[in-house]
Amino acid sequence: MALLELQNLQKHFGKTQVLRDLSLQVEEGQFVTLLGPSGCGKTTTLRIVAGLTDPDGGDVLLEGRSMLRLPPEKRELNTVFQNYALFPHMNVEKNVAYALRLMGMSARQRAARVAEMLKLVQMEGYEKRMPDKLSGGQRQRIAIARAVAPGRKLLLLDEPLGALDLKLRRQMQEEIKGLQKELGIAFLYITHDQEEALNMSDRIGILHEGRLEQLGTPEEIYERPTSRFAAEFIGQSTLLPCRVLAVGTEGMTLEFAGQKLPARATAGFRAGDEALVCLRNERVACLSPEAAAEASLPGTLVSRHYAGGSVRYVIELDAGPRVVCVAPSAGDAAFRPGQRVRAGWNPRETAVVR
Amino acid sequence: MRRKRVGSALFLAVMLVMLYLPVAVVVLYSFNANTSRFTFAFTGFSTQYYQGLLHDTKGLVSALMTSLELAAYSCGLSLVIGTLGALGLAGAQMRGKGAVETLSLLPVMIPEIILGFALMAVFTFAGVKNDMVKLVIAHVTFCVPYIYLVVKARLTGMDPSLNEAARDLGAGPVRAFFSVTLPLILPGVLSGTLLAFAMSLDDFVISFFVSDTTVTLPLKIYSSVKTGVSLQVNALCSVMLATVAIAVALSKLLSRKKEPGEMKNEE
Repeated sequence: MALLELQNLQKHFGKTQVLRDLSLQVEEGQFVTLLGPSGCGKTTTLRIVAGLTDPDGGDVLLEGRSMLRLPPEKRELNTVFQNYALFPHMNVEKNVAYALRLMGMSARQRAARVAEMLKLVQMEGYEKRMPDKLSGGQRQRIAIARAVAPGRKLLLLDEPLGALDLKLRRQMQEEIKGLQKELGIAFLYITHDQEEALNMSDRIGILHEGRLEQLGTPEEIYERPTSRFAAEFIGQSTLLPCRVLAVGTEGMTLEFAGQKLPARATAGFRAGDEALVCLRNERVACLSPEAAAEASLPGTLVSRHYAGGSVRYVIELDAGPRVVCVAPSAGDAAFRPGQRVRAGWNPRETAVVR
Repeated sequence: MRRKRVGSALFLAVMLVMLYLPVAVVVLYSFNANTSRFTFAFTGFSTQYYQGLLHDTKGLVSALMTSLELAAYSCGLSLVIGTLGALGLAGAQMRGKGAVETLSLLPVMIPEIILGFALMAVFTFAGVKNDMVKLVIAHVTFCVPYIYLVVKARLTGMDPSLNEAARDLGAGPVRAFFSVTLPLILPGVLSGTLLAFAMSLDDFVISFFVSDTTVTLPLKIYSSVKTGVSLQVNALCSVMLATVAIAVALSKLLSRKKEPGEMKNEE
């Protein structure tokens, strides 16, 4: 039995449908991320789980029991809010102890638990600080400490790193992931940042217009996107519109502008279907015109941008579309704009979507 | 540059004199030894008016007590009504919310004389006889909007997720209100109440229409004008001024202490 189960959640705000039949399971101890652009319904989903918004349809089960009739305070889970929501009139200690007091812990137990939590987030010695005397990163830590203090099995996090700068965000990613492993509890994490999702999650659910587009491990999501949205949203890619010529057991044959291209076997395609080849920038190689590759298309190099560790090529295919290729930089002189080249890739490393 | 500075200093001086000269005159004359009502000459220092006040020879102090009692009742009631109203309307997502808001602020915009007359008519029609009840209802009518406005401003600046965080951490709605929302809106509630208190204490027109026999301080001062103003009024005003000045100074001191913790929340 899953720790948390969302069943066919529906939600409308006025005439706009925010959630369409959203179903998802979170197992105990799992780090699950809901990833999507703003307005995809991810925050609404989180609020429904927390009990702050009621769904129009569907159910939310925690350890097999429906939580829909329970008010937020009766649900055995806690939330880290987007803007931290630390109580400005209470110091760090009182913030962290807020839930503990309500649970009926004695003063001594509370003090011990607060000390333990502050140690966990490396904020020892800050007990008497007021929230407005803390930096963004410190507030973040206190918000997490406050939310994990009651010791529930599930923590909800609503874009907790959104307000931090890039460097701090990277550091906090690691810390949050480490914390989750250490506590051994499940995290349901919300973000629009694919890097965050790929770095931290056990499983990622891509949300688009209130629908779950794809659910899988970070590797599955990146290597085998199942929809055009998932392919475009994660990573940097060029999508080539093709037609399926033949489907075999080993792979498929596609046709692009009169040329045959091999592609990996992908479920759901039949001869005659439209298909998009998802060329990840770093999986495309810029080759000389006579070089051999399993799959390649001729074109002209439009631009070459040197960025230290990598070089970015833009190739205009003879058939029209432009393909971006990012390759590790090498010392030797490379291609020059205007030169004839081929864009090549390994069909087994390249996804095909509709 | 320099001329500009002199100009603005002069302007400031004129403004301050205009504002505070009457106050200074009142304080000065409260210590006047001259008892004549017809000459305003300052003939010497005396505390006779304060002594008179102490024995309430002119009924001014008992009128003040009545006013304070009235203000306390009406502000206490308005405090609850105004705060609940602000909380309710802040959370409501109903049709006609704007209309309700405007309607509830109307009492401060209607000319007092109309409000006073209307209230008198209603009380006569409804047969309400008790003076204090009438006065309290009348004062609540114009006190509520002040408290509502200030509390609403405070609530608008408050992050709604604070209350949600309290609920999420296990507090029921009542607990969340008293431990999180109320402490955060309290400065607003208090300053709104203070404002309403001043309005109630000061009200003449509405009380004049509504009251039959009860004499509030403004009514007492007005009625004593006909028989000639007792110079004790100066002493009473001075006492009240001093009280208000001390109260304001205290509240400034308190709020300065509190400010660092409150600042973020105000933004």
